[in-house]
Amino acid sequence: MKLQRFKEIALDGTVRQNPTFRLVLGTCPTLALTTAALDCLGMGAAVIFVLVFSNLIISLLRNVIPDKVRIPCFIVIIATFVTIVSMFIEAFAYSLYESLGMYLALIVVNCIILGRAESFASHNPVLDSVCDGLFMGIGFTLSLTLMGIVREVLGKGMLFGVTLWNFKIEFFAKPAGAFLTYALFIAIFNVCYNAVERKLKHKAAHKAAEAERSAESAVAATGEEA
Amino acid sequence: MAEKTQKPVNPALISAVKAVAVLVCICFVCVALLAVCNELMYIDDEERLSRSLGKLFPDGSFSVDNSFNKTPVSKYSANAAYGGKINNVYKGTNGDYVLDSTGGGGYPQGGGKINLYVAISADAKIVSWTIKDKMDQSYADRVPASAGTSWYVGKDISNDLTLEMTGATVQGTATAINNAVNMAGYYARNALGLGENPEAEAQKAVGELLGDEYASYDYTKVNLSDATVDGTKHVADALSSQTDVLSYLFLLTGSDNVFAYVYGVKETLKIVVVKEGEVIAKSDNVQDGDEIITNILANTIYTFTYGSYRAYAVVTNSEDNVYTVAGLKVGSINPTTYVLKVTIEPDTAPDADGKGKVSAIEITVDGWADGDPTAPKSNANKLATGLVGATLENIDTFYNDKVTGKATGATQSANLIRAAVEAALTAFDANTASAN
Repeated sequence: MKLQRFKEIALDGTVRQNPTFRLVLGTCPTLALTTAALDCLGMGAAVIFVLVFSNLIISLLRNVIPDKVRIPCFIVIIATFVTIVSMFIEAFAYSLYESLGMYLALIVVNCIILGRAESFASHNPVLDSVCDGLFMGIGFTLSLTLMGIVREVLGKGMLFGVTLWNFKIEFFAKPAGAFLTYALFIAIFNVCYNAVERKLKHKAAHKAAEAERSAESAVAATGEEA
Repeated sequence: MAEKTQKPVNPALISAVKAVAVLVCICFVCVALLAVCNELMYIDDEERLSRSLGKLFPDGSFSVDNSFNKTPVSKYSANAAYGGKINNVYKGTNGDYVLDSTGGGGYPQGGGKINLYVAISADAKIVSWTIKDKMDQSYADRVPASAGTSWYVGKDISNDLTLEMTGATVQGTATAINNAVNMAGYYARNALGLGENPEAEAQKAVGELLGDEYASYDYTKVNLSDATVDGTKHVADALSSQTDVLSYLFLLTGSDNVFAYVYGVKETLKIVVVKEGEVIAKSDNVQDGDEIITNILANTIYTFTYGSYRAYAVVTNSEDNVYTVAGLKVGSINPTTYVLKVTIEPDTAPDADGKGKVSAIEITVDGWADGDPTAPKSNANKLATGLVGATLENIDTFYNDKVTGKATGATQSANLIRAAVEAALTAFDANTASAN
């Protein structure tokens, strides 16, 4: 895989197609689990595992799986990896398992995973699909953790389970606070994203115009010489 | 020779078969992968218990006493009132207990169950609880995470505990949790002897006195608190002495009826067990000539079952064939005690063998409850006079054919009067038989 392609996939997963703030996918765990940043990291790790391995297998089998049964096949594969990650967390990180509760099992129906399987892994080579799963997962984890940090600090006066101060605005730890925080993050993320994109476009246009100008002046100089 | 023509296979069929085959293959591979993972990461019951104990006792104060038999005592391991059962009982080296308890009454429609570990301290208080298995309670995650260390915690298990959560959201699951906790409390009271439950203690002491022969008998507590023998003196007083007050009277029903009279509580407990007018067992602290035994034998209690209704009667006096009998109020039925003076003469019929026949009935204490039932009070007297002429053999016929008024809302009064008359006839026949 070329470096440029790798960069594209990484940028798509984390920023341009950020599943939480750009595509607004996987909202259930985003709203429910972001009361504690540590749980967000745990959930993110589980999603990364499922995304990477389901993309890997689906990409490997993309020429074997008939189109008519592709969705059932994807679901079976995704459910298998969700069950494995669920067993693993229950066995080795029981407190996290308790914290994530039913949302761990609900990864099966997380739109990000089925969405990447359907739109990317089933059409792209293995390495690209694995990278896509990894960076989509990282994008999801970062978004979740960011929201988790804000809600935990404001709503509980804690960070990663450590008490910072006694001041807290309990509203942020409640469901309504989750919606408000989510909306603010989407707004801020998209405003920043659009601003950066405009700037980059402007820069590119400026560069192109400059290149055109220099080309024109070179042509003129050649004419004068002639 | 005719050439065989090969029929073309439908491409759609091939495609469908291929699709199914691929799906089945993927399923098989996934199942195999999960089987391997399950083998590697399976959590056994011991590990689950250890994790739960960590939640129940975060300070690590509970370590399982392996010498204690974790199998529950079968007699108390299930109770329909809680729709639940006790699966295992663990005793800690610190004297506390952890009960693996299942409670019913949950979602859906009161049929669902939930499985908890309930920690109960040696002084009969709930320490904490945690969900072992959600079973069919899909909303169990909506129960607050702090519930295990807040709901019921510190409460005494001597009596059933009430629901700690209201509201429709997880009402079914909360009910199942409540039942599981109460199931654990029930077992702790009766099988582990925790908590203040004098009635259960008295019942247990009677069971121990009677031994295995009566182990399968059912207990009914006979309520004598409102029953009087003459309108003023209570039956319980008549059965007591100056030093020993009757605490409980149990009717044990099995192959025959047995009455267990229990006096005092705990260390001062005295028990006398009577069957067919004879003392068949008594605790070591009761002597043959004790006043309580005299009182018990002088106030014979008779029990009668009429359909689903059980009535009791006490013969408190018999002089010149006039029997003073109290038909006792039991439980929450409306009429209170009826006290009757029943005069009985020997039946002169040729085949009667001198058995008793009612010649007169006088109501000395009218147990009629005004307002409820709605039948007029005068019906009570009709009920009594309707049984004049009855013998033990034909009292059913008399009751059914001649006692009027019972159909108009006085069935319970009729049953009390009938029980009193039947008791007098039984006492008369017993006296006649013993005289012969």
